[in-house]
Amino acid sequence: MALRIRHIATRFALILALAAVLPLLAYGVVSIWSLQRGTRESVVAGNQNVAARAAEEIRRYVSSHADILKALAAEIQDTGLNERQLQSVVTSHVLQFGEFREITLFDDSGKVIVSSRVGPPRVSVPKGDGTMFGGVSMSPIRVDEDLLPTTVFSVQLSRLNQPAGWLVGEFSLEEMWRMVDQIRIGERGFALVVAPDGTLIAHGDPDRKALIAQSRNMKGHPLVTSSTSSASEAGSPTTAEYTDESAGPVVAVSAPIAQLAWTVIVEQPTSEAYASATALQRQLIVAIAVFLLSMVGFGLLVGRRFIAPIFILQRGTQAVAAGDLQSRVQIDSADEFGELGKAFNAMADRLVELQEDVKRQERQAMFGRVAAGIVHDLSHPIQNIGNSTRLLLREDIDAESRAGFHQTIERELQTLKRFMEDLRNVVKPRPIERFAMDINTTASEIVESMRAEGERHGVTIEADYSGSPLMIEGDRFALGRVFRNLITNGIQATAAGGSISIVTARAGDRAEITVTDTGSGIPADRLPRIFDDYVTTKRRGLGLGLAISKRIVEQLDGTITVESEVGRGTSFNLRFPARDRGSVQAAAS
Amino acid sequence: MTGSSRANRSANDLVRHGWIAALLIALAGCSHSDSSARVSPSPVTLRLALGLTTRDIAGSGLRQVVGNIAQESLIGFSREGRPQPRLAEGWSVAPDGLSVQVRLRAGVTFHDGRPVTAEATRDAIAARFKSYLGPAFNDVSTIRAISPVDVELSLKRRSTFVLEALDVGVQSPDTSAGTGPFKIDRVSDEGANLVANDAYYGGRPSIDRIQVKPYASVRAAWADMLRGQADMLYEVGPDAIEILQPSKAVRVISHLRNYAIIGMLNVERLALRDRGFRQALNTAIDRQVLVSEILRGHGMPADGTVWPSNWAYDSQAPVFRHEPRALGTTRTRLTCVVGDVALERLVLALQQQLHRIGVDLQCELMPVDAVLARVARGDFDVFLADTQLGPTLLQSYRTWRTGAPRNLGGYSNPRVDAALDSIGVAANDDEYRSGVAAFQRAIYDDPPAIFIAWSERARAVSTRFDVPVEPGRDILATLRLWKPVAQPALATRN
Repeated sequence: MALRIRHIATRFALILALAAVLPLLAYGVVSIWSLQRGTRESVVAGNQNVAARAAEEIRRYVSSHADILKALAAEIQDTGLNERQLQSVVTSHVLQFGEFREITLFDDSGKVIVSSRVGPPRVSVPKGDGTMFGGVSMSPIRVDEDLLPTTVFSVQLSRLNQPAGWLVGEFSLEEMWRMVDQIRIGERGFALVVAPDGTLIAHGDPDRKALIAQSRNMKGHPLVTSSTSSASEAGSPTTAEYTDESAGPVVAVSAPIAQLAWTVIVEQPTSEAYASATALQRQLIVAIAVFLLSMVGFGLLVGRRFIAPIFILQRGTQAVAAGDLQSRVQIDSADEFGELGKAFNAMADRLVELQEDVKRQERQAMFGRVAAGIVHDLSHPIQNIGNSTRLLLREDIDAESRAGFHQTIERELQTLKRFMEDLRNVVKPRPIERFAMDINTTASEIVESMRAEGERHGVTIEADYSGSPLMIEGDRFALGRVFRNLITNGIQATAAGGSISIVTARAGDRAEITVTDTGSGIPADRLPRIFDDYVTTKRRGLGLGLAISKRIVEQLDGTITVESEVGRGTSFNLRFPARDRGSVQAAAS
Repeated sequence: MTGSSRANRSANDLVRHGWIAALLIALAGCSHSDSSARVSPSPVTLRLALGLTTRDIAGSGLRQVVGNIAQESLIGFSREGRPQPRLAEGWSVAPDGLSVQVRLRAGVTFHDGRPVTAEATRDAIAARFKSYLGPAFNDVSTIRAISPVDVELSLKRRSTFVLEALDVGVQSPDTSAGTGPFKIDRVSDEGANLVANDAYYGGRPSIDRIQVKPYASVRAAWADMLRGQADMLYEVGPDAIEILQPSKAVRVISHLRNYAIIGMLNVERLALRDRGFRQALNTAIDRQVLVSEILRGHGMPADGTVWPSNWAYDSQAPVFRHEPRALGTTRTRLTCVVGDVALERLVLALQQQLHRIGVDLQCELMPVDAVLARVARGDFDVFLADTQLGPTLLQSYRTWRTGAPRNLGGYSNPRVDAALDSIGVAANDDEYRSGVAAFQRAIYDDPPAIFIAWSERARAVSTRFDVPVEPGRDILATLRLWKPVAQPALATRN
C-alpha cells in the first residue's frame, strides 16, 4: 500500500529524522558491533590467560606431588631403611601431604612391604596402562569404590639397575578440587578439568561437583572435542560459546595441561562476561533512541514553523475562493514566503479591481439590453397606437375601420400595460395570496382567452384537463399570469401551423401542468439560464417572463422544469402540492 | 471515510509508529525475566544418607540412628548437662534423695497406638536400666507406677545417676515402639523408612517420610549426596566440609558433640598397667595439631574425660598437655583396633606422635563387628573410638567406673570410683562439683585412655529444607520442625 503523507510538516520531520537518524543508527550499529567484538576478544583473551595459568598451576600441582612420590622413592631405595622406618616414612608423607590418601610400598613380586593404610591397601602394582609423568607413572582416571574418580601414581624402584619394587600412591583428586575451587572468573566463572577420556575430574562450581559424582563424561563438550585437535595439542587454547544446561549461555575457553593430557576449561556465563558491554550497549541504544525521538520532535516543531506561511497562504486562498476578495495574508518573513504573501495580496487587489470592472460592464450591458428591449418592445405598440390615432383623425375612414383602429389602440395599450406590470413586478413583486383553487379552471380561462391570439399567429392551442378538479393552495391571478407567459412564449416561438398543448393531471400528491409547444426550441447551452432575469431567446421582450413565472411557482411551493430540443419544441412542467379531497370539499364549501 | 482523511491517518500512524518503535528501541535490553514459585508437592520425603562409620560399641549404626529418631526419653539434657522435660512433664527428688518421682505428659502414645502410661513407662525403664546404669542400678530399690501418670523410683541411697539415666529412650515393652515424631515403618540392613507420627504430642512433623540409606563410608554417602540421591548427609567428613560449604544447594551445619575420640586402653595388659606410662601416652599427644591438621579444625582438643561444657566441669583441674617425654630405650609396641575408617588419618598421626616417645602403635582397621569381638575378648591394647562422654557425668560413670557397662579396658581405680560415687550421692550442686573435680584429678592421675579430641559433627542438608538451627545443638533434635522450602518452578536438576 502506497504511503501518502499529506502534511508537509510530517514529511519534513521524517526527512529530518531519516537524515539525522540513519547515520546515527549506522554509527550505533557499528559501535555496538565493535563493542561486542572488542569485549568478546577481551574476555576470551583474559579467560584464556586464566585457563592457561590454571592449566600450568594444575600441572605444577600434580607434578609436584609426583615429584614428592619420586623423592620418597629415591629416599627409600637409597637409604636401606628397615620396615619400621619405612612405615614411619610412608606414614609421615601421607600425613604431611594430604593429597595422598595412601602410599604403599610393594616389592618386585607385588607383595606389600609397608603401607600407610591402617587396613588393607587399596592400591596395587601398576599394570602398564599408565602414562609417564616426570618419571612417575600415572594411572588413567578410574572410579573407585565410592564411585568417585581417582588416580594412582607409581614409581618403580631399582637397585643395581634391577627392578626392586614399586612405590604406589593414591592421589586424591578431591584435594585437587580445592585448588580448582580457587580458580574464579568474576562471580560465576569457574574452571573444570577433564581427563583425556572425557571424565570430569574437577569442577570449580560447588553446585556442579555433582557432575563428577555422576561420572559425567564430557566427551561431547565442544572444547573437549576440540582439545584433541592439533591446534590444542600445539598449546593453543580454544574458545567456544554454547548453552550450558544449568549456567545458560556461557563463553568458554580451554587450555591443555601439558604432559597430563587433561584439559582445563574455564566457563563464564555470557551475562557476566559481557556485562559491561551489555550495559554500554544498553546505554548506547537508549542514547540513540532518545536522540531519535528528539530529532523527530525537533523536526516536527521546525517543520511546523517552516511551513506556517504556507498555512497562511492556504487559508487566504480558500477565503478568496469562497468569495472573500477582501481577505489578505500577513507574512512578515523576508524570504520567498514573504514575497509569495505580497504577490498573493497584490493578486487579491487586482481581483477586486477586475470584479468591479466586470460589474460595471455588466451594468452597462444590462442597461443597454433593458433600454434596447424597452425601445424595441415599446416602439411597435407606440407606433401602432400613433398610426391608428392618426388614421382615426382622418375623416375618410369608415366606421368599421375606425372601430378596428380603436381596437388596435386598445390592444397595444394592453401590451404596454402588461409591459409596465412586468417591469413593476421585477422591481416590486406583487404579494402572493393563497386560496384553494382548481388549476383546471384557471388554466381553461387562460387558454380560452388566448386561443384567439394563437389563431392570429396560426398556432393551435389545445387543452387536456384532468377529469376531476386539481385543487392546490394558490393565487389564481398569479398562476394565470404564469400560464399566460408560458402560452405567450409558446405562441411567439412557434411557427404558423404549430400547436401548443396544455395538459393537467394528478401525479401522486402533486398537481401537474405541462405546457408544450412545437416551436423552435431552446439551445441546450441556454437552458440553464432561461429562468434568470433579463434572459430571453426572443428578439422582443425584457426576458423577465420566465423569471417572474419561476418566482411565482416557487412562492407557491411548486417547481418548474423545462425540456427542450431545438427544432422540435419546448415543454414546461409545473408541479404543485395537491390538496386532499377533504380540503377540496372544505374549500368548495 | 474520505481519501483525505485516510491519507491523514496514514501519516499520523507513521508518526505514532515511529514513536512506539523508538520507545521499543529505548526499552530494549531493559527487560528481565520473571519467575514464579510453587510449593513442593507432598508427600515430603527426606532422604538421609548414612555413612556407616558412625557406629559405636553400644549400637549397630543404622538401627541406632533410626532408634534415636524414633525414640524419646523421659528427660533430656542440655548441652550443659541440665535436665529438661521430654516425655516427662516434670519430676521431683525427695529431700532425702531416696525417691525420684516422674510425672508423664498426658495423651502421649507409643507408635503402636498404646498410651504411654505409668505402668508402661515403669516396664520400659526396668527393661533398660540395669544394662544402662551398670553398678548404679544397685542403688535402685523399686520402680513402680503410683498413678496413671506418675512413676516413682525408690532408691537405696541418693543417686544423681538415676535421674541422669532417665535420658534412656522409652520403648513400648511389647513392640519396642517409640514415641518420637517419626515412627519406624521398615528397617533392615539395606535401609530404613520412618514415617511421620500423626499423633505426636508436639505436633505432626512437616516431613512425611524419612528414608535412611546406609553407605559403606562417609565418603560414599557424600558422593551420593553430590549426585542428588540424598537430601541429608548424616555426617560430613572433615575433608568434605570445605567442599560442600560453598554450595548453594546444600547447607552444612556443625555442632560440637559430647563425644570424644579416645584410645581406650586395656589396662589389663602389662605394658599399660603403669599409670605413668598411660600419662606419658597422653602427654605425647599434640591435640592441637591433630585437631587443626587431621580434623581440619572441626573439633576441640580433649584434655580429659569430662565434657567441658558440663556445668560442673572444673576448669582448674589439671589437664594433659603436649609434653612428650621419651619412655626409655626400649620401644613399646601397642596394638590398636579401629572400626571407623574416618579415623584412619588420625591413627597415622597418633602413630607418628607416639613413635616419637618410643611407642609403636600397630593399628588394624577392621569391620566393627570384628572390632567388638576383639574388644570383648580383651584382645587389644588400644581401642580407638568416638565415645559419648557427655553431657552428664553418667556417661563417664558408665565408661570408667569399675564394672561399668562400657568399661571395656578393665580399668579400675578406687579414687575414680570414689569420685564417681560422690557425684552419684551428691545432695546439691556443690557436692556434685566437688565430686567432678575429684574425678577429673583422679582421671588425670590415672588415665584410662588416650584422650584426643571432642569431635565436631557436621551434617549437610539440602536447601530444599528449612532447618531451624540452634547454636551448639544437633539439628536432628529439631527434625520435626523441618519444612520443605518453596521451590522455583524451573528448578535445577540437582
